[in-house]
Amino acid sequence: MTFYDMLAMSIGNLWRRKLRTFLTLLGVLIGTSSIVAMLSIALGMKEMVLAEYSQFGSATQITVSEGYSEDNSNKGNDALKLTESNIKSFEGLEHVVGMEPSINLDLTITQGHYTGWTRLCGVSKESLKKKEIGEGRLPDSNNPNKLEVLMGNTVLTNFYDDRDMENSGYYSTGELPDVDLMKKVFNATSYNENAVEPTSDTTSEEGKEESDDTVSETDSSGEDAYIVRISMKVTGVVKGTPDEYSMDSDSMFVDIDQLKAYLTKNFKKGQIPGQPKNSKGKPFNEWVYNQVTVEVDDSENVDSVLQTIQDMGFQASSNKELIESAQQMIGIVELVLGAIGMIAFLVAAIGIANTMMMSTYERTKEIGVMKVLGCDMKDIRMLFLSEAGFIGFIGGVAGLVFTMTLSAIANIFYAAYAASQPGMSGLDARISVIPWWLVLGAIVFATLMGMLAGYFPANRAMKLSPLAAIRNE
Amino acid sequence: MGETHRCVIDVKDLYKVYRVGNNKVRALNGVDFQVYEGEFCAIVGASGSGKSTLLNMLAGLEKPTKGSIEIVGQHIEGYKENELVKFRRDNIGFIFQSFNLINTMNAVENVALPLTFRGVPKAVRLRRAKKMIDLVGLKPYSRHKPNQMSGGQQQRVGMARALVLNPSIVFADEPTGNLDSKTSEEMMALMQEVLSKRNKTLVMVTHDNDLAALADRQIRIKDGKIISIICKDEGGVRSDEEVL
Ligand SMILES: Nc1ncnc2c1ncn2[C@@H]1O[C@H](COP(=O)(O)OP(=O)(O)O)[C@@H](O)[C@H]1O
Ligand SMILES: [Mg+2]
Repeated sequence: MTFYDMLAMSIGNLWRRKLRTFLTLLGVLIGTSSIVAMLSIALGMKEMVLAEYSQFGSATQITVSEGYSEDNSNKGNDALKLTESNIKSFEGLEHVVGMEPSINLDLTITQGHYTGWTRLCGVSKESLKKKEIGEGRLPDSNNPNKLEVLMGNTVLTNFYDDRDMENSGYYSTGELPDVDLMKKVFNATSYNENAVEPTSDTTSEEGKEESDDTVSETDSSGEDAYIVRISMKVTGVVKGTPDEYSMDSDSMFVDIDQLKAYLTKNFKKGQIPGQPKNSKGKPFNEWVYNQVTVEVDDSENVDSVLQTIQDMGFQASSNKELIESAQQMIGIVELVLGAIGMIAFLVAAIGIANTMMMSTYERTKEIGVMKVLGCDMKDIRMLFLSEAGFIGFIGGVAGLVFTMTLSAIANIFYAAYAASQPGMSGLDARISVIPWWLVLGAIVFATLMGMLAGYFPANRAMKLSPLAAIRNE
Repeated sequence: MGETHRCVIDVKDLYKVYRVGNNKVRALNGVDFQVYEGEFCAIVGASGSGKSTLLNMLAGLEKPTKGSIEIVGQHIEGYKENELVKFRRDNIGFIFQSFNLINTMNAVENVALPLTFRGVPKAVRLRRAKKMIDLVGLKPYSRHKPNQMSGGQQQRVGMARALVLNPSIVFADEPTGNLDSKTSEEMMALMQEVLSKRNKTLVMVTHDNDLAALADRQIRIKDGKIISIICKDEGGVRSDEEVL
């Protein structure tokens, strides 16, 4: 028999017993719906939990910062600073596939009555490009005079009204301050512990020279010399609402090369803000980073790399355990919910088996006639299997359509609920997630389960005697 | 006796024993005979004499307990089920007493069914089925479902279905058993005409002596044994007393 004939004949047989087919389909619909619904809720939970944890970095990352020597003397410290040459040793470690150093500067920004605090992070071009832009554009990193930066989505929540510091924050008012950092270039200020006070009486030649020739910004202000100005412009904001807090959502990001160029251009060696001095009190001859993120090839190797770096004397930490235990917990939730859904599907599968079994009893004579007329045994089995598979397939598709509709409605309501709760991620909140692989998997699963349920009846039909056609007259 | 013809059925020492509880029912108790190409052979006997059992084994629907069956040169007694299916499909047509048409299919589709099992494309098989419908004189009824036809018409569809694969032998178990006597006669006439024209062998089971008298060869059975074989062309009677 050709495949097409087989299909046409099995559909014909199902159509012949519409009501019974419909009822069996209904069982599969409910079974598929229950599995898909349960898994989609589990996946929704996973999405939420992992989003929560991803604020702290991925499971394969190790965050390294400078180490302190145990005797607390300044001597050993130089080797434990994150200087360009010191961090090279990380790259050579086994299982390390990459690293990203960053320079941070703490900034104070004032606009109108408002003052806010943020941190400027110099990161690589690649990480800058990876950030999702919600508004504006990526910074252009070619201008060393004016820093173009990307602003984190919760930066504005750190602004307060000078006239009422206590009650003017976002968390008290629920409203963002009237601050627009994208409008024009502004000056942020930062505390520079390396600055040389113009009034201070330094004996060193170097010091004198510096005080005469300090960068215009520091010079022109009559203020404290330790306060330096950084001229910058926000070109874009990271995607997200002010409520979607994450580890670096209240930072500003700039291309690290541009930041370095800006700092070198505007500050003398030894006076660059944030750059520490060595144990002899002299500036390093290379950049010293605040933090290095080391990427490991596999989360299994995170512990050993972490240990190695700690043994070298640096401070290092990872979120592997945190994330893995979360994943493990989610795995259990998935399993439990999937198992609950599976029970309904199992009942549906028994329904299919029952229907097909009934069918072989009813059609004993017909099957006998088919065999007498020369229908292959395998074709008879295939006929029953495809009928059972068809019930599974149609029931599966119907169940999916049903669940997806339900899921969409549930998500709308959930998003509305989440939006009304301060501090919850508003826009993206989904209680039920149905990825494409679940759609495909559910259909394939329902079809295969249908065929599996139909296997025993199909085998029975195949083995029926052709004499049945002549007997029971 | 038909030496010029090829022997298409050769049965030797055939036994069929059914076990019913602790009892043994000897449905066939040592049967030997031959049938030649193009012959019309009738298997005659009272009810329960073993006619159907014999026919089923010849058609490969059932396996013998002992003995050999050679049909068109093939020894089918040792065939497995799937080999028997293929054997039937290639060599055999079967006409049932109770027609056994598929109720959901119309006349043409019923006739085309054996072609479907052979994987013949739809257009080809419907054309061939229509030809067979014409042959049995049911052209105006080709779109009728079985329940829209009389018994005689249904059995003609059954005949067309048995012939559509162009088998060398057609087996019929009481094909007129469910028909009235007038329709039976018409049916027999049609069957003989169609089959003899194509030199097909027909083996028919009947309990009706008048119908059996139409046959070229009558095999009379009683209690699982052949009591006589009567050949028409010789005109004489050859008695074959089987002694166990
Ligand atoms: N499947 C079976 N199981 C047990 N006995 C059977 C079976 N089929 C036929 N018989 C017995 O074999 C004998 C011959 O039956 P059958 O060939 O159907 O007779 P006929 O067709 O001549 O009326 C009967 O006695 C019947 O009861
Ligand atoms: Mg009988």
